[in-house]
Amino acid sequence: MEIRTKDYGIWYDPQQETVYCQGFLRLEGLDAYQPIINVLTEAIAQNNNLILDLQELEFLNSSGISMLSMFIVDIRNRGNVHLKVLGSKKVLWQSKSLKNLQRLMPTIDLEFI
Amino acid sequence: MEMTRDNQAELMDLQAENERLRQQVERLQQTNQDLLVTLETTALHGDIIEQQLEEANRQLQFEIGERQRRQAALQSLLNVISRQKSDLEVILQTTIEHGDAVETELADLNQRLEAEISERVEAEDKLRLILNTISKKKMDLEIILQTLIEHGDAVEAQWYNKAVEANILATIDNLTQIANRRKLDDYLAEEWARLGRDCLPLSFLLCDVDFFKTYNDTFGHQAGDRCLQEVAQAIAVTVKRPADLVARYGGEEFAVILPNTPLAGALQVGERIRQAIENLCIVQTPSCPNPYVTISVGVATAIPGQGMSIASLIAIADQCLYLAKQRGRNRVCNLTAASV
Repeated sequence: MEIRTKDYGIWYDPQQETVYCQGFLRLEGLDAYQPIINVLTEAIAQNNNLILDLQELEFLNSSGISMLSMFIVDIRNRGNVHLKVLGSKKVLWQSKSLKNLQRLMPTIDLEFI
Repeated sequence: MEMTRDNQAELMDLQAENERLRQQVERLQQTNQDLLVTLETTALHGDIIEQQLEEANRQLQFEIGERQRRQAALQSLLNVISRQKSDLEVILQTTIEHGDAVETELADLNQRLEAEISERVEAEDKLRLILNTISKKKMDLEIILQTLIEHGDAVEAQWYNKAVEANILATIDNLTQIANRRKLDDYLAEEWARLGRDCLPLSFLLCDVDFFKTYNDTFGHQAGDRCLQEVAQAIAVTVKRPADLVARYGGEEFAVILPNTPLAGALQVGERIRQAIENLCIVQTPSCPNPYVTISVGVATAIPGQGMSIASLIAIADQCLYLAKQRGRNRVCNLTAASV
């Protein structure tokens, strides 16, 4: 469960129960994000705890934030998942957009480092 | 004698008989009398009774007539009432039958309505469930939309800041933190076009640090860099108007654009710059004529487009700078006034 390109990297570390997202995610449309949704859903299939580490995700386009929003709705509907999201104070979009994800799923443990 | 006895006996008999007959006549007369009285009484009584009976009969006749009339009237009324009763019975029957039919229909209708209500209640429950689900989804979508909008804005701001930063970096000279040559060229072209439309003068100053190579060789590149930074900031502070631009032209050369400024004003600005650099008191090498770092300034003024190009304006400023250098440095020159 790992995707690495010159622009971005997504991978799951089972020991840390963490999915890491790094770099510039600028895929076109939700279909293009399917492999990334697969990484996330597979990670959550194995475990009810998940940490989503976005600290080094410098850029995420609108399709990407939509994908992330829908993933959050899915795990909220599943009901038994504890999700922690790690963001960076230095990345402007994270300080704006990640708080909105908490509106979709108030139990998200959101931490800005 | 025998005969007499017989006659006598007979006589006696006859007498007795006669007596008996007389008594009988008397009794009969009495009876007759009684009968007469009785007859008279009876006749009288009969008359009275007859009269009474006649009267009674008359009254009865009258009453019978009355009763017959009443009976006829009653019979007529009875007939009417009978017809009405018969009609009413038909009506009642019809009404009962109609009522039964209507009741049956109503019962059926009622059953159907109850079934329908039950179905509708079920449907309503289902719809409510669907509505709840849709409402939840709608709320989610609204939040996602909001997230998208804010995310879009944040990303836009992030890129915009980067673009502004990049733009600033592209137009700022890294060492001196004033405008670079690229910015100078762009701004000069813009102002040249703008002032040309309004037929207003543009002055261009070229400034060159005197004996900079000697300074650099003596004090080293780092000191040379610091010198250039101080000179650049001093020129920038001296040139005050917002539309003026100070830029690093290259090496130890600086340029100043003074839009809408005639030659006299430009010469004054040039002199203030020269003075400001001298006042910095940056110590120069002893081999130089001046104890402090100085600057030479060439000034060119033109109204854009009137037989003059940007290149020729710069060339004139360069010539003036050369002239200032030739005439001993630390001075401001233009083609008509050699030194101020």
